[in-house]
Amino acid sequence: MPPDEPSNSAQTPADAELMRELAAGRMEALAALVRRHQHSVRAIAWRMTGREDAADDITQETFLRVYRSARRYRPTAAFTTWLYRIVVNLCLDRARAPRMVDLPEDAPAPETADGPLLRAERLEAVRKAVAALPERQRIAVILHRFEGLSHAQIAAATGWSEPAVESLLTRAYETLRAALEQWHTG
Amino acid sequence: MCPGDGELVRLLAGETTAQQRRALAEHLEQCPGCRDRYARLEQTWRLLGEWTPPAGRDLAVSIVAAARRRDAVRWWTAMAAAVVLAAGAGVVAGLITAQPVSSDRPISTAEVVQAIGLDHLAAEGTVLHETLAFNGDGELEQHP
Repeated sequence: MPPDEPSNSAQTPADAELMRELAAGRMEALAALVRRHQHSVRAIAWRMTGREDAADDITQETFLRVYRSARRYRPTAAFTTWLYRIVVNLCLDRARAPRMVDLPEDAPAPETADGPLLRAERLEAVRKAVAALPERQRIAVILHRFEGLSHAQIAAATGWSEPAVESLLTRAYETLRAALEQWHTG
Repeated sequence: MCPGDGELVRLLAGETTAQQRRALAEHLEQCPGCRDRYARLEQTWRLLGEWTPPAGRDLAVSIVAAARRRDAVRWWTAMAAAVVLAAGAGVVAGLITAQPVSSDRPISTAEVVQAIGLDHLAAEGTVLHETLAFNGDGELEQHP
């Protein structure tokens, strides 16, 4: 599950409180929001684009948009719902822009108990299987499986209906199951 | 009745209520087909979980710096636009208010008196301007 808005204490001001401070021109609030959410934003962008440099660019642009919109921001929904909507839109813009096709980087194979080669092959199979999903299914799976958003939260972040999210996820997991079956154990 | 894939996905993701969870668990215990479906879905779920992003650097400092740079660019752009607008407005205002001197209109004595600064004499009680008039050649001459 994504982190809920933290309690409004002096140590961990809620996202909405940080947005108010940012609207008042306090740049430390922007740094605090970045430090709190950059991991999730970057992970979404990385899984969508397959590239670290693209993920960093999208992460930066996401928070610059947060900064630019701080004065207009109204905390009617969770900050993360709004944040995820920005990053998803930026990923889609990038995917649709001409001459912006991101090729996956060659990642070094990590050492594991079952051998680096086997693990690298398995991860590559996962990456390819997710990348092969239709765009909306891919977004739904990335937000659901990797960012831990519920169906309702995905619906709020994307603007799709909850039944549509359920349908996208069901089809996506079925496709992934078929694509990754050879990697199942037992 | 067997649960759909959507329900099994919700069970895996922990999106079910305690009551739903109990009912699904009971069903899975009794239904080998659903148990197999759930086991395969669980394997896929676990495989996906291995796909983790590389550790990234902290972007907070660079993002704050980029925000300040954009602010500065926006400020200078606004200032430049304001200067251009002000200059443009001045030119337009000048064009609107400037009126050409008509060569057809005869100039009155009073205008000439005012133009050459003699009108203050009239204010002092003289009647000088009443004795000035143009002659036939367009020259100003004084009449007794």
